[in-house]
Amino acid sequence: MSAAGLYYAGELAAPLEVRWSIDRDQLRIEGQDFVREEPLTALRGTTRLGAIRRMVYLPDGAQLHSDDNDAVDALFPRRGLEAVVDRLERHPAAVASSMLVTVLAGVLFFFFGLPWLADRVARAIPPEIEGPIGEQVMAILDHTALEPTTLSAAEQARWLAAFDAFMVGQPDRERYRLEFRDMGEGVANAFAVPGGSIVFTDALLRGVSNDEEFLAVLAHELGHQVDRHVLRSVLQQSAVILLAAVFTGDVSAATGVAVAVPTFLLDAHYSRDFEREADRFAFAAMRQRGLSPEWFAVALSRMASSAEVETEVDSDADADADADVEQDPWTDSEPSLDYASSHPATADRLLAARAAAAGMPSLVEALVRKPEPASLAESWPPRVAVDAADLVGCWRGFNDDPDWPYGWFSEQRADGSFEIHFDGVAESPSADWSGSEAGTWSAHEGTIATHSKQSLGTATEAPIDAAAAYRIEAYDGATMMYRMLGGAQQVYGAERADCSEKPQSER
Amino acid sequence: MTQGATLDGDSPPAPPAIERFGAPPPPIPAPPPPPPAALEEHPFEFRGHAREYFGIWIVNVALSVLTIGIFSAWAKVRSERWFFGNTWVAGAPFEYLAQPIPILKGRLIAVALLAAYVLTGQFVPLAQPVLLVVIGLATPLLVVAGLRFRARYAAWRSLNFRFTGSVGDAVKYYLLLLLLLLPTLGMIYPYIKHQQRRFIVEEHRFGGQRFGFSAEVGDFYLVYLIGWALAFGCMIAAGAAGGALIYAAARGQGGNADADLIQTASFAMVGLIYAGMFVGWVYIAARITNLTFNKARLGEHGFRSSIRTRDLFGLYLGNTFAILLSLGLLVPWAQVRMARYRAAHMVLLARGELGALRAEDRSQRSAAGAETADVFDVDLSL
Repeated sequence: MSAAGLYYAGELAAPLEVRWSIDRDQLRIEGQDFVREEPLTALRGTTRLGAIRRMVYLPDGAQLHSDDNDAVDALFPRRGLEAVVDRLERHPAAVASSMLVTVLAGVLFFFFGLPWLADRVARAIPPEIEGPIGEQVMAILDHTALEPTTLSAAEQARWLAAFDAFMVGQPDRERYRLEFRDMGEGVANAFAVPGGSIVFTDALLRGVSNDEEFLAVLAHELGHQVDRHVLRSVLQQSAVILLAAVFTGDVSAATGVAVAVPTFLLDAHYSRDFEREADRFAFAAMRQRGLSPEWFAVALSRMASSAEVETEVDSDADADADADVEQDPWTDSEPSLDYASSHPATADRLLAARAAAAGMPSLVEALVRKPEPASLAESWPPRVAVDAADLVGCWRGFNDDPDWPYGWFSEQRADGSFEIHFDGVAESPSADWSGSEAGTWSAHEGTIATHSKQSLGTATEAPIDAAAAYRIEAYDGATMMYRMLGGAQQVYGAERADCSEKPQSER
Repeated sequence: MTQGATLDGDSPPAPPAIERFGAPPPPIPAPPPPPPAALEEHPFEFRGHAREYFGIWIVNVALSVLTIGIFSAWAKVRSERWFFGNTWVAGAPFEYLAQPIPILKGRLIAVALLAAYVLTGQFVPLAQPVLLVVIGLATPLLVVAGLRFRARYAAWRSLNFRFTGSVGDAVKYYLLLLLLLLPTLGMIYPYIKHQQRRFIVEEHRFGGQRFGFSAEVGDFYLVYLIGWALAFGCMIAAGAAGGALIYAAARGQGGNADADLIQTASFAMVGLIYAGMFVGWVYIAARITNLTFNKARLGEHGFRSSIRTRDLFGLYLGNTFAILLSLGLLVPWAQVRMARYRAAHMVLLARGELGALRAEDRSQRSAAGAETADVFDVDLSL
């Protein structure tokens, strides 16, 4: 029994057609005018792979090439690793289980193994090494996206005081610092920088109505710091880049996009996990300090309403500082692309915050019992003690400010619910205050608290979850003057009205 | 079997069958002596099937995954061997002879370097440019090492390829010439590419025969200028179309700006601009490949490469979508498709007997053998 082959003598690219066979322990090659024998032990050869041609190397540099795979296999009875691999490659069941193994191992590793590993490694790395990284990142950001704060010293002192009060009892308290920066174009944002800095933009601090909203955002950013999210995200992203390179290195450049897309989606997945973890940290930290996680929902819904501007600026900052900052646009503006988003869907986060608030006093309850801040302006008149029962009924607001002409009609019910209809004059979409607001209210010794869903203007599509406290500064039964605490601290006036005049809601 | 041509003795044999079986074979005409330089075309051919490669690929991926990447060196050898072994010309396949261990070593080094680079970027972002310069300075070394490795472990009809370029020359073509880019505003780039190609082709040998390269600098300038014009033309057209779309969206119905439409139009514009750049890049890639092979010589023999831009563009685009939509399962199909296209558009133009190509002299061969023992015997590519 002999097989066909081509014989190369070793000097020329000229093949000779031969027949070859195994004769006891000898390889016997027969050509047209020659016969050659070689002991099997002196031969080396290529392993079997698909249906490609096999090469047998003779000791003097001559070669025998043959397409008869089975015959060549008989020359090399010693089966090594590659023989096993070859059999797997040609076995349908092995191919099918390889697919299963690959997918399973990939999913397990990327969704569980790598995050776990990054967490372990991050714990082993002392937090101090993040210090210089944070300094470089802040230097880059200060050159690009950030400007010095425009907050006055008094404003800064107020937020620092709130920060200090919140941080009492926090382990490693000395590692964390509050920083103020301006981000231009009124971008409300907050982010954690490696090394312990938590940066708030001026627009965010000017936009919050209550200290509690600031603390909710702070608690979330603190969660990023305490759980070492920057470091862990760096480790995870680096591992993804490396593995993508190792496993796709052979694949041609055409697959660049095909590698980039899954890498991006995976990073977005990790980022959402970190956001959820920071949210959970925030809920626990707030409850521990007697703050309802409901404040988180208030802060989040406020930031979501201006998210479109923020995400744009954020991506600029990202390009400069890479992944080194736990960049928080706080929300993503595209709710339809959950899997590509760096943050979980806002609706889910709101639900989680409200669920975490179970058992805590309502925001209205907390606000109305809260003592007036010691730092009230001296020019403000004293609070007039009016209780909820006196305020039930309908009120018509008046406003003498010519720059901001609008009116409203509110109905405060005895069961604690209320409804307001605003009639705004639209100078621009963002200044349009027409719309309505509905929620719960309470009053106690001259402090009014509301917690409501606002649908105002045309710029906002989803209602904003808002909580506010007001102090009554004048009251005579038919009219009252009251001032909003926090925010713009504006004074409003209202007079009693007939509930039958209530306008019909447009929404 | 021809109909009616039965060998059954009972039925009368049909006359044509008799004639066919009974007639002596026509005499084989003696081949006329070939003219000294008869040109013979040997088209390249890719014989592998995606189906067979799929099994090889997925089993090797699974083994690489299970061995946290260690097996990937064996996987690389097997996939390269399969692609080389299925690429045929003039009745013989190519061979890939590299062993997994040097590849594994190279991969470990490459992974370490890449990890250092990535982590530096994350932890010491300001130091990354420094590292980039260091890697840039090492380019000539990496280029030569890569070409040497790839050539040394490639063979056809029992003879090996070899790359003999020196690191010193590579420094000239991959480092020093680049210094001229800035003062010439990049206009010298086609010249640099020509020098690099010439270096690569002329320093390769097959057996004892050196390759020659006859492309002119002007050929390269023509390709690059057309490619750049194509890219800019496509980008400007895409930008104009996108701009018009955004303008239309911004005007909208009754002056109401449609934010969603503007966003969609902006995305479309950016996408089209990238597509324009890609078209230019594909044109240059296709034409430079053709030029390189068409102007390469191996002794008396030559090559003809006829890759077309639109085919290549379609292949890249189709492969990318196929891989994405199949979650990677069509990677083998995409690779085979590309290999088949490339082989189908390449011809070896033999002038004279291919079998006359010789191995290197014994002394040179031992020099080549010594090379395999040196530090360059790692494949640094990932």
